[in-house]
Amino acid sequence: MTAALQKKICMLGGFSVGKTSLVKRYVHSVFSESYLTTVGVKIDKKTVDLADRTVNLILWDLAGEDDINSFRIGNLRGAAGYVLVADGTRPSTLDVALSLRERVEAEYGPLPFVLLLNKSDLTEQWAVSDTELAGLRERGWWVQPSSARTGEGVEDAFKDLAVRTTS
Amino acid sequence: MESLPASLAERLRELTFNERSVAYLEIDDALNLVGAGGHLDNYGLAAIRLGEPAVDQAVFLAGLLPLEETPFSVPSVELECGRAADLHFYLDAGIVWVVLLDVTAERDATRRLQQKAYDMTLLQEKEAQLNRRLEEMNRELEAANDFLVRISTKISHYLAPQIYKSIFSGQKDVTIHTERKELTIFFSDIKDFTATTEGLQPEEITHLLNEYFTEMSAIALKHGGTVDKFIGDALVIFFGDPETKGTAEDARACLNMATDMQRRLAELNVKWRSAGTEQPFRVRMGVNTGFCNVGNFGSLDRMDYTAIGAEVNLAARLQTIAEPGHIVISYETYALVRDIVAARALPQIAVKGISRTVIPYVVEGVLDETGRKIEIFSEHMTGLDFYLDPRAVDAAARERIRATLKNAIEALDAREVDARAEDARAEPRDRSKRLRPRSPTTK
Repeated sequence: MTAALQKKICMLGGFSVGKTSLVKRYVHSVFSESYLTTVGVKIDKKTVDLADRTVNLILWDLAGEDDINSFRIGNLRGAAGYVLVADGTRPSTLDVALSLRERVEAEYGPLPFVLLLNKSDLTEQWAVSDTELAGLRERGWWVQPSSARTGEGVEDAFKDLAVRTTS
Repeated sequence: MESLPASLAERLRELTFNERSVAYLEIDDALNLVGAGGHLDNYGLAAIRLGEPAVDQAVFLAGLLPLEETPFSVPSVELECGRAADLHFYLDAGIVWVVLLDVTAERDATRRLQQKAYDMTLLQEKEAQLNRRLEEMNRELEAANDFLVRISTKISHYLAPQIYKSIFSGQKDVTIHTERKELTIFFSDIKDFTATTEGLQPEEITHLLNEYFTEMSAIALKHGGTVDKFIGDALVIFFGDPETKGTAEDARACLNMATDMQRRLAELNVKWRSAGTEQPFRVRMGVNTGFCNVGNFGSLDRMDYTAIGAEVNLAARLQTIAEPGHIVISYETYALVRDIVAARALPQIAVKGISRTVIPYVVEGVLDETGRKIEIFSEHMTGLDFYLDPRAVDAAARERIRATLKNAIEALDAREVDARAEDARAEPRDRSKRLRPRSPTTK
């Protein structure tokens, strides 16, 4: 069998934090200013060439809920890892991301994940301090600012997940 | 279903199949695709091959096989082709069935509603955030303002209050700019200040001088004068800028200030003497009215708000010819204040830079409402503090003062007799060293 490994990766986070934009940037290398909300799930595929193997990341871009209780945890079934996304200009979305992580861990146990603080290009409105970031990293988490507009941190995050979910 | 008539059941099956674009996949326990049908092309699955791994051909299956739960469904999944489908999974006799039902239209309708709701929430969040920023900025502004107020309050002590006010209210620009204005200028100087304060410690001198300047400045301010500067023990004040009530009113205000200062100085001298300062402060005052250049002088880095010109120099000169305790004014000032003060002409003087004849006038008293002269008596020296403003005393006080003065004259006369006798006994031959009479100078 020469077929590549398939790994389901979920995009998780509050609404309008940029999950769909991050996928678009990563898979199609494009960015759009306009906001289009996601309903249900949107599936995309990205092939990642690692040193010794090729991985197909099957990206499940899950709708961001404003009410965390209406989040469908079942959509994570079979996920190999996930990308937690928060909006660095809206501190409340970091809380949403952290409680989503807790729900996932309670349901599926520890899974590889990365935490992206998105919209890092909006420096004027940035509301997450470096000490907060450092505090999250102290937990041993992979935490990076990212920007779907500029591409900052995007490639690295997915690649890191590809490595961790296949090793 | 059993209760439905056969034809309706068939119709429903047809409806669902077409309206929902039903498609299915059949996967065996080796996870190979063993069957497929329905509207596969609707979901971009037309090219799938039977007998090959299912996950490679329908990527949404990744991670879901083998089934952990049956039946199992995932609503509204947008596939790579752009169509949205509800995915239904169930296991039957070792075969996993995957059914796809198209929900693109419903998905789009839900999206429109959800979009509006989220846009609204985002706007509210934005508004709240902006409000917080506004509040934060307000607090910062308030803090900056407090800081500026504190700083400007400190600066204010280095400036005449009127100058400070006109700069900080924005009326005046801080640029090198002067104007020609008719001012009344006041100069005062403490007679023999150095000799007077010779026996005092520097701290005592500072204290005395500061008290003197504080008191005099307060009087100047009360009368609307601009305290220009302190030069050693000298004081320069002008009237007519930045605020003016007209040349005549400014001159009158200046004279009222000067006489007020004399009165207050008499009180201060009594106080200082009782506190141990032997020598009183005796102050000469000079006043002139004329056109001066007033404004900011100096460099862009360091400016002084002041008045300059020959008329200013004249005021200084008049001060030097005044007897201690007296006010000498120019004719120009006198002409404006003759209804409120009585003054006597002195011999004319020549002043550099002024071509006209300068006749100084020494102020001899103030005039009451009816134009009557009221002399004010003020003498201060070792052994005497005397100040009398007849307007300020009532009938009973007048009687007491008369009695006191009478007793005082008798005491002085008696002392005179004693002194002569002593003098004669001590040095009968040397007449030149005889103590001269020490009668108080009256004004």
